Amino acid sequence: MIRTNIHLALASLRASKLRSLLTMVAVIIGVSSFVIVTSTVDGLRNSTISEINDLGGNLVSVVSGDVIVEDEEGNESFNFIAGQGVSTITQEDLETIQSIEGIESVAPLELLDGSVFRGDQQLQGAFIIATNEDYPIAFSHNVSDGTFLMDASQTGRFAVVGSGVVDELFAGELSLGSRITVKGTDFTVVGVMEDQNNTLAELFGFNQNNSVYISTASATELTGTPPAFSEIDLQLSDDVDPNAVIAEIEARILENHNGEVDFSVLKQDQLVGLIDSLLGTIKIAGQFLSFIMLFVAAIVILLIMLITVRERTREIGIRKSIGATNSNILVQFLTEAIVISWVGSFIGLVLGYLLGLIVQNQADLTPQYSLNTILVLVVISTGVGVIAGVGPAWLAARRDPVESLRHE
Amino acid sequence: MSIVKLENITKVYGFGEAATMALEDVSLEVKKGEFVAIMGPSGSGKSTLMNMIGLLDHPTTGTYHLSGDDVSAYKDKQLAHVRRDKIGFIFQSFNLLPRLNALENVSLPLVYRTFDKVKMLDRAAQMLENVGLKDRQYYMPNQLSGGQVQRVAVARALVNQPSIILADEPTGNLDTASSTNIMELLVEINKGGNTIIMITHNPDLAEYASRVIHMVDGKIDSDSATTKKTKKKSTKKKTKKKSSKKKDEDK
Repeated sequence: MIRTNIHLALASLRASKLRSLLTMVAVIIGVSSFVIVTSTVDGLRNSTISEINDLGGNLVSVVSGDVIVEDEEGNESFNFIAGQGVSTITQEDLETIQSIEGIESVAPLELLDGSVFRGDQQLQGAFIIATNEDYPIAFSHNVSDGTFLMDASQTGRFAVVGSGVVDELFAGELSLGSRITVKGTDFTVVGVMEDQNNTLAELFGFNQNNSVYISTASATELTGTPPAFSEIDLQLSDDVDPNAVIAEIEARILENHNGEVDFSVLKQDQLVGLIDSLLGTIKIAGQFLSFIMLFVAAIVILLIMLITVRERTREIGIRKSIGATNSNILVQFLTEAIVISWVGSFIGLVLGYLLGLIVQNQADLTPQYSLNTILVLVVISTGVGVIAGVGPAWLAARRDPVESLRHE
Repeated sequence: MSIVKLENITKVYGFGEAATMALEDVSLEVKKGEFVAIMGPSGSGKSTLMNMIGLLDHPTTGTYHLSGDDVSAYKDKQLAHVRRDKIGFIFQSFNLLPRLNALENVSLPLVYRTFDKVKMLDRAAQMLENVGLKDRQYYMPNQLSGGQVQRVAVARALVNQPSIILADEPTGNLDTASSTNIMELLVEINKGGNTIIMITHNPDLAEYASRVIHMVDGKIDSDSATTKKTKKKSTKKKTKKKSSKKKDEDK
């Protein structure tokens, strides 16, 4: 019986192809956008988390602001806004951390606003990062040529540039010792960083390869103010208890800050949580838009089903006269609505996958498809069909047989 | 035993001032194996009576026994099951489903029973063979002539082995040759033991029946057995001439 109904529904879809396609447009768009949002965000999450994991298991970040919010059950979430104020992490904190035992490398990060020139040519999308010689270890990001910054105490105005800077300002051919102008001051280029891709950062318009690295001492000279680090990243030694070291860092910085909790110490798993939380929000926002589209899809199918029921009144009369019960008719039209939604969803799924291939090509990002997405889609598309079909099917089932047979 | 037994059936449409009485105190008994023709002018209530017998419509008052069961108080679902198991309809406008082929149309009443699909199509094919359309199984209704379409409809009415066949002006949309053809088919089915109740305008066609009921203003005006043998021969002669002319059109 169900098979007969599905067969019938497919036959009636085939009977008017253009109309069926137009009916399904909203489902197709809704489902394909759902697929593309889910798969790209999942893909982004995967690549970002693997990038974090590449940094090694002992990465700890000290960031400005109390960004971790813990609820009563101990679940952590992130308050992104808390980190947006003027940074509270100081040179004193850096020195404090450097004095603690069991830490392999400590790299501060300070982002400077300013322009980078080679002669008259300005570097577009430049980032000026003030850090120290530990940066390559802390971030597993090494020079491909030359050396990273010298000792932090050196004030020789040395800079290290990302590969993008070489491409843009030096047409791909840089000889070490060339000069660039950072915030109006001349610097000697002593090294070039390896090419690095950070998908999440790129998504937010940040291309790490366009960075210019200078020492924190140089930065203080340029700005004339003591450094305010957006974060300090450190690698713990393998042979220490990470929790003990972290506890000590927290206690010592708290001391520096006179007991004011205006910073956070994040472990690697918390960084992963941060990414999850951020991407989760983006995913839900994207999926929400898809759901609105799918709701519209349900309304479109509902309208077409109402028209279909009216057009096929005579068929309803015939079927009832030869013995169809009200529920037979109900199931028939409900099945038809669900089948429309299923077929549309299937087309949407395929379209979403094809769009994913384009994303993969253009954005250097591998969309992640999961069985879960498909299961969710089966549930959603059935739901859309039921919402769209139950009303019209109920109307069809209640049609009076005598009047239906008279219907032209 | 009477298959159909209507007692004091009244059907009123509308309410109050606008109420019209389509059937007024109609009592009727039809025995197994009868071929009843119901005649009467339009608005005389014959279609309402037919819908009542076919359980498509509920009487306002009165009782109806179908093969001994009191079906007057049945709910929609029970009525649907009785229609499915005991009644076969043949309509003036054929009422095949245009998107199904002949075989699928014939098997339609079996779809609503739990029926093995192969068996179902076998039986439908047998029915089509019985009405002479063995080689038209996979034709769509719009590829068949009017007479052929009505024969498909007859096959559909027979496929559930009903107790009664209800035919509402079965030849109303057919030319004379096809009409004769269908009427002869009905006579044959009747000879096989099936009870047939047929509405018709045409006195010639009523002569194929064993009993003719005239209705006027929602009441039975007369109810008599036909002297079919003598009259039928003469009509047959007339129609035979026409049928030979139209034979090709039918095919």
